[in-house]
Amino acid sequence: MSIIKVEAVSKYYGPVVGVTDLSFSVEEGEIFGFLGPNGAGKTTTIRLLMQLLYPSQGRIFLFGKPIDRKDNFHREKIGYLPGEFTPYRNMSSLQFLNYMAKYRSNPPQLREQLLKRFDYTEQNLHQKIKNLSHGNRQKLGIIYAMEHSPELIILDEPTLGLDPLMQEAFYEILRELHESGKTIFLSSHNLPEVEKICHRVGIIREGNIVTVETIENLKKKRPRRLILTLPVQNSSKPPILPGTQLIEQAGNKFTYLIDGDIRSVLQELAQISIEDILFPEPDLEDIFLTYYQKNNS
Amino acid sequence: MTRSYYIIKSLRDHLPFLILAFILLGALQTLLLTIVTTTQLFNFVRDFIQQLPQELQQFLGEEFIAQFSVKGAAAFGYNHPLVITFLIIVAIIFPSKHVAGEIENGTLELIFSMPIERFSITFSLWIVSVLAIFFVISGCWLGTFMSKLIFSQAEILPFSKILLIGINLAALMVCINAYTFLISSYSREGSKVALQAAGITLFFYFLNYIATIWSVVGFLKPISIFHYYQPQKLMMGEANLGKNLIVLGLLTFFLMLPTIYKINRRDIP
Repeated sequence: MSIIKVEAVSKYYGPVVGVTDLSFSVEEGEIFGFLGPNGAGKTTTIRLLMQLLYPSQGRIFLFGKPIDRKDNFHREKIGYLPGEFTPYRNMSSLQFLNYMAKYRSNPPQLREQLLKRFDYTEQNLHQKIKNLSHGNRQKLGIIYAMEHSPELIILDEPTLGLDPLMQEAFYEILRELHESGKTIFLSSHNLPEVEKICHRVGIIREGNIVTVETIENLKKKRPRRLILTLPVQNSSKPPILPGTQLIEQAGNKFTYLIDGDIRSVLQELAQISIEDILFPEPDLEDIFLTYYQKNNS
Repeated sequence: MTRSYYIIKSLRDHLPFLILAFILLGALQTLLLTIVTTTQLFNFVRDFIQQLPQELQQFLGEEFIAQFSVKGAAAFGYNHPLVITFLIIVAIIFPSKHVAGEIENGTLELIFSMPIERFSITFSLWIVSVLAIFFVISGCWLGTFMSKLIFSQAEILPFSKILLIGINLAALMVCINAYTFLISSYSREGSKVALQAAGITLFFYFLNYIATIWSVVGFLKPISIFHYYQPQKLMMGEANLGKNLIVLGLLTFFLMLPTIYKINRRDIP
């Protein structure tokens, strides 16, 4: 069953376009990544799902039922972390969690476990929120979104402000929640993060869905780049590598886009003198370029 | 329909200010009546005014002289600028801070993403505002009552009249609260809403004042909401409380309807 189904949804803010003709679905029990640069429409889409914004066109289904202005039945089953999590500054973390828990009928059954996993100390719990660091505030937001063990967890840029250790702990918790059957929808502008934890990904740019792919397909289709640094004396001419395209040259540094078999490239590289070699992670622009080229062709 | 935990939290947020207003305005009522009772101010002011030119006496009016009597001072206590100012702040602060203000700082997003109806939050906030207004007015009632006890004014000062003046004052403040709600439902900046609501209130206040002292524009009086609150006349039994309450009540009702509609349908950016 589709837990989230978005059908041709558009949102306009007067003449400004938020998202246009958005369609995708998220299946029960999957971790769905919503990937896009800042301002692409990720937060608008999430706010539409949470009924904080209402669509100008199109329909949204949650748990198989269409949502409208009067319905809030499904929110009991949702945990939500906004992109900018701003809890009541004058409350302590514990007061905040207890206060927000009163709005839900599900008890905060995962709270203790999450506090422990995120190293959220007793001192943090009793500290006023205005005195918390950004990282601790973000941890509090994640705990708030998940503590009642919701069926659907919607997280807008959840790892912003978390240190690498806490990010790992967070990914681990997501995997465990997925194993227990929860559906997770998370937005990010970080491709490696989405590749690491998601099953499928929707890529959004300028308010439009570029593609919805499984992570396996995305990995297959994503472009690889190679940055080659040659010794200065050998750098007058760029080496010709099979199955690559030279896209940039700066002094003795050459950047190639690999679109063929990586093994033949490596064999060729073994023949020449090299000062340094790098295979950087592709960024979002590389991914967009791939899909735009594909769409245009 | 209401959320008790939301009501308690919202009241708690402003409790220090509400307690301060309760004590201060209560003390003011006691002080005013103490001054009038212990200094025979009424006779002194009446004698003094009789020395003034006829035109000036007319300008000051009978209401001015009357406020130096026990009854007049009690009524004036409920129309004192300090009382009006504190109550306007109470009337404006709840909708401006908890609707537009919370949209601005992002906390309303958290509340509205919960499994509740937006109406229940709007209605609870309205209840909080009304409770806060009555709480502060009850400070005034207590102050007057204390004075009555201290100076044994039971016969001179009918407490039922004081209660009715307080109810009329509360109706006026609930009306101010309602248009602040309406402005807030269209806005996303709490401070801007508070300024706009204060500006409208000030406009109504001066309109009523000018229309009272300048007969040429006297026909404008009914436009001002302050026309429907006349404590001195209520004390003397010359005003129609029922009419005042109906006008202010209807105004509140018709301001709250679009507010609820707008909050239910608006985007939370």
